Amino acid sequence: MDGRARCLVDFAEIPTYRLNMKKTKQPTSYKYRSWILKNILAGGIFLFLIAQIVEKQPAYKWVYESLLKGNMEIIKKYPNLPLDKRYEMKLGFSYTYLDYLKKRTPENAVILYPDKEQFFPKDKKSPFEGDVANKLWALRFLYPRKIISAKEAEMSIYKNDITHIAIVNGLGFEYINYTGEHFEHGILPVKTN
Amino acid sequence: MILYFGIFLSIILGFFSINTISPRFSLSEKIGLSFPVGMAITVIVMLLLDFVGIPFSPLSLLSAQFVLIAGLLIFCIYYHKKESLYSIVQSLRNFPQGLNLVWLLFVFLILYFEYMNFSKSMYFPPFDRDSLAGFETIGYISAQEHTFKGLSIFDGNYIPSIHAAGSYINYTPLVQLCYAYVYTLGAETSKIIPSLMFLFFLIALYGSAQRLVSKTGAAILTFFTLITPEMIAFSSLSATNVIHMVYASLGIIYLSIYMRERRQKDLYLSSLLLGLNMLCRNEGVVFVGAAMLILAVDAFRKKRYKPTIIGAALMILPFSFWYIFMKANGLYAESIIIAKPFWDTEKIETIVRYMSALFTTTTYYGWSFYFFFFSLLANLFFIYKKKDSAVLPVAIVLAAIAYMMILYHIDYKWDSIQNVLSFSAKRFLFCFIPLVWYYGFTSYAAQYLLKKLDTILSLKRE
Repeated sequence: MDGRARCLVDFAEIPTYRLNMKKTKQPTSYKYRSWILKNILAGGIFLFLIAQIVEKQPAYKWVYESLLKGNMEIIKKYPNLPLDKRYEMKLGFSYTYLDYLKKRTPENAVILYPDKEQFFPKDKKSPFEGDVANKLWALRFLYPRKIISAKEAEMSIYKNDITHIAIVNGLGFEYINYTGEHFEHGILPVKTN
Repeated sequence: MILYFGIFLSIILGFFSINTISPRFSLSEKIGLSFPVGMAITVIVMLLLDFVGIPFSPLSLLSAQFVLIAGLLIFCIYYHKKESLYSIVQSLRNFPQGLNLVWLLFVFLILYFEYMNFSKSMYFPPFDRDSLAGFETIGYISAQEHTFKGLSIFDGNYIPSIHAAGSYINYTPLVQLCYAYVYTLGAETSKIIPSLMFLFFLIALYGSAQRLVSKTGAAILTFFTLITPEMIAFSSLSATNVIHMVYASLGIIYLSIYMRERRQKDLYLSSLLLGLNMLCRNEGVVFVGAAMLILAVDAFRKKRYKPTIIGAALMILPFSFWYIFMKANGLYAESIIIAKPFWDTEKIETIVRYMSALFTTTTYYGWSFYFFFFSLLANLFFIYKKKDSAVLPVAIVLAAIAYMMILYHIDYKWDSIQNVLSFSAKRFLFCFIPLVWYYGFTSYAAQYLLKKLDTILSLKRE
């Protein structure tokens, strides 16, 4: 009985031990494979969905293709563009004009600045864009020069301090009391030396 | 070089401010909130310096930041001891948990999209009309004249329309002074501010989302918030709207977290962010109003008034200081608010028509609002049966109604109502975008589905 019982116990223990070994080895590799497969499958599904959303929904498509990729192409094309040129790229002739005024006037200049009607005359195509007639807008580029708009000139405490007249679209020469060459856009001192 | 040092100090200042509220925020929350909070505190310090007549200069600004950082550091070491460090170690230790390919895919997409957006933002100088005719120029001149209260462009003799209705003189100062800060430190343009604000916002949104959903859910919600068409377009401009969205939306998100988890640190953070939201734009009052109403109802139901009172005080403190600053320095403009009650059917119809069009268009906000309506509908059963939190939808609805009421009470003497609704209102709705995605992904139904997804995609431990 003892021998049989011992034998039965021994016999029963061996497969259990082997089974335990299997439990810790084989299922682990299976688990990793299953985890990787599930992740690849789920990743693929989500990638497909995102691609579809970006492709099919016009607003998301615009974000990816125009707003982000389109601008990245410009950045890659002109990576070292100076700040001036970047302003010009966005603000066009308005920036070119203000930059010109800045370079042609001293920092303490008081400029008689055109109004909206002079920047955008009804009878003429204007090269200007944006809110260039807005005083604060223009001051971002002209500061520390002072600018007085034509409309407020009469009432302004700076009316006697005006040193320069800004000319746009060939308008503004009426404020100059000397004769000279006429041009479309530029700046003239109030008094000649 | 000094500019980057200043930015670094602002981040450190924000980081320690969040640690002062509580060291138990996660690392992503602390990093994400560090720049917005640090810059806002810097702005308040700038107002204080200006108030007492100390001019803005690299020395005065950096010294003030140093003093504040030293104070906060001492506070953190004294009160929180090693806990601040422990929370960072804990965040890093928890990082590998729940990683899967879907999370990795969305993190990659966020990095890729935001890399392009950040590059674009930094490459182009400020060019949008509202920035150049307002915030950007005020910031630039403020740095040149070393003051805010005494700006030459606030002088009625120079700018005759300065005290007229809708004038920039009483725009809340946070964005302008952020720009003044970077210009004082020698920046060529102010674009580093909106670029970093949006970048840090994404980290903060991800961190706050992780409080309620899995890593995967947090990454998906951050991605969809990021690609919202009109908002991502404006995130690279110098306008105030996206920066306002950062404070307002995170403030409401932390309020909703507080209402779920009842940890006071979330209430204080929410109140601080909502207070700062009012320093960005006046309309921010609608979020403060919504939050106060929710907190008041909660206080009456729970018979606990102290946290609500502290929260409400924190919310109104920054704007109160700004109000005193304005009054003391003669920064005023003709009011645009109609203070008496009135009935104008045509005006109501116009507002409702324009706002409905905005809420239903996919051109500006992609699927954001449709996703919200669908999520709310899908979650109604759980709100009723499982008592799932309805704080976010309530806050969204309250703030939207309050905003429409403000639009109704404005006297449009400087611009047409159609223009305001088409442009200002369109941009104001940015504040709701993170909220609607956050709600959609943290609602009971979504949490259940995301948990299932994470269980399938996670490697089970022995």
